[in-house]
Amino acid sequence: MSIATALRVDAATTTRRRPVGLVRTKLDIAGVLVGVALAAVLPFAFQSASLLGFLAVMWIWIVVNIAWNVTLGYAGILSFGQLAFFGVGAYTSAILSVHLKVPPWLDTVAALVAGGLAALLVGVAVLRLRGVYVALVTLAFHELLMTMISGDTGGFTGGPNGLGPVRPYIATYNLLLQSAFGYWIGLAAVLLVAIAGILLVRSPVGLALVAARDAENVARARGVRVTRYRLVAFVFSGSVAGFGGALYGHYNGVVSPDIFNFGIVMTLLAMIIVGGWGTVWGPIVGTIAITVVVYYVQGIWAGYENAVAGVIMVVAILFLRGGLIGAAEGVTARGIRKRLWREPADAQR
Amino acid sequence: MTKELVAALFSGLVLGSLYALMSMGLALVWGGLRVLNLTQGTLYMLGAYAAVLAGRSGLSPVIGVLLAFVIIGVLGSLLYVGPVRRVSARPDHENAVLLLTFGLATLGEYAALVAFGPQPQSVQTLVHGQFTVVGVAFPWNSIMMIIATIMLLTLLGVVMKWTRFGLASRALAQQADGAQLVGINRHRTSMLIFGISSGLAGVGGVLLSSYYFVTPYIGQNYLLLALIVTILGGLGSMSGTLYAAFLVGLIQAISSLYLGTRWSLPLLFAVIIGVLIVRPTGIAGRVAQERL
Repeated sequence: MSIATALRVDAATTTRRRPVGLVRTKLDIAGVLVGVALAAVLPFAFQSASLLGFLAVMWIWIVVNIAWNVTLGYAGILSFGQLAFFGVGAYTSAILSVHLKVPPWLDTVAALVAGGLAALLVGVAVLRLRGVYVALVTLAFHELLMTMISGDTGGFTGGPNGLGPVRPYIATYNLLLQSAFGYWIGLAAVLLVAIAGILLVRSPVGLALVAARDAENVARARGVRVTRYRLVAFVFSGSVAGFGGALYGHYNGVVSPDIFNFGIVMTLLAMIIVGGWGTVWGPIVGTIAITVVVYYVQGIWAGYENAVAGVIMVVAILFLRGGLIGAAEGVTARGIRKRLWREPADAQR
Repeated sequence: MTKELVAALFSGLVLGSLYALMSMGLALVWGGLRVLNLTQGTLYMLGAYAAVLAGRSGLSPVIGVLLAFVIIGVLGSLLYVGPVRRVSARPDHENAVLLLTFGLATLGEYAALVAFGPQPQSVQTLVHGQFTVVGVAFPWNSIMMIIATIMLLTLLGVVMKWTRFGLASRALAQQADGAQLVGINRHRTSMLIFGISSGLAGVGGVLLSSYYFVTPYIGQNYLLLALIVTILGGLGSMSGTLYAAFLVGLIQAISSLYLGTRWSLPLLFAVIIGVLIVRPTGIAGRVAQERL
């Protein structure tokens, strides 16, 4: 156990009510605000419906990845279920919207709740167990949903053909404006989720999660309720994924079992890993980076975007530990200090 | 009704032996290295394609099985020597290996898609003919599959229990540093474990190809079932995995008979969730003791 971990355990158990790293938190939130403000004027510069639509999906993936990073990076829970919870949200909103004609804003809330509930059910069953079991059960849950939905011939979920048309949040006949609305709605979601994510990981809960990730037994011995905090992270992650799923359904107009494609799981993982997990900015930077790559690969080698993302992911795991954010931190003063604090066994490799 | 039940029980046994071969690879790697190898499903699929290729070039099926064992086994060893060994020294290597093998598994699927195309391919059965008892047909091919699995798994059990290699891999699982101190070559043993488990997956793939169509996507389904079996049996426990494999096969066959194929997977999922809540380490798994 390194000194940094010990201090984190200590802080998590003794300073329950005080927020942590207040200056950094404020800086990060300011960064999010500035970034979103800059991105918000982009549609006026690029007046292309297809490009804006592409970026709208990117914002949705950023939402999903910020939440996934909380479980994967901060809590160290190896969950492959993020896209399954995303699918739960997408299908909840699509079913409510298509079959019951529920207004879009309301079914988005329902999707958020449904994603959280699904995560709660899966989480209660597996979070007391070792990390690998979580990976196995979430992967099985993903496959289960995919098989169930694509095998459904009753018409309730639409089966392999998908369910639609799902009404957009704001409907216009202008194609460009439609894409721009999708873009802005996605951006607004990024703003909300990014700030919620930053506040969560910098709260005592976030600190306890990191402490439990780095030294579970020590944290338990000091009274950190490891399983309960992990469940909080898992449910947060699941409900945000459900929210993202609803956004996607309303943007895309059709929800089909294609969203469970393993290629997408891998692309999202590649985004988080390339950006650097366990950091606030990692998933955001990584998602943007991989999206740019995917955009260019689509033009040259259509159909193999996910494979290229997979190659990048494997290379990043092997040669770029800590991702882009980790590489950038390596050259700053704070990063060097952090490296000195690391466990010797960890630092030498 | 008894006729259908007998047929379902038989197909449950066949499925169970397929799952046993595949999950044994997972259990073997977890038992020796404390990591999960998610490429197992893809290796299985590649083994099935090896059978397709062998069938096309007119080779004898027995040679096809041997070739698949060797080729897929070598592929698996390379997997250890290259990427897995590189990350195995990290403190979070359990997660790193899982993600790495997940990525490689999906890439392998894309490679098969490029090389063989998405259309399903079929292979001739290894053994022809069948015999009939009380009105139920028992194909010799399925009987051969069960026998081959039992023989392979017995052989594996003997190797793991009574050879120096088996002893070394169990020692590595208990205390990797201690095992190295007494002179066990960690990387060579791990490479062998990866090779053998992948070879088993390859053989499983060949056997499977005579039973089902082969597509680049079959790996996923079988990986899922192998994962369910492994959870149910307890990670790393070979006997538990064996029981669980046949249990899962029988549950699947009987539930498809009475409830329809659609419900067999949800039922299995409910079963594993139930088992995990009652016995978090599976049927035969033991709690791993960890130090601070």
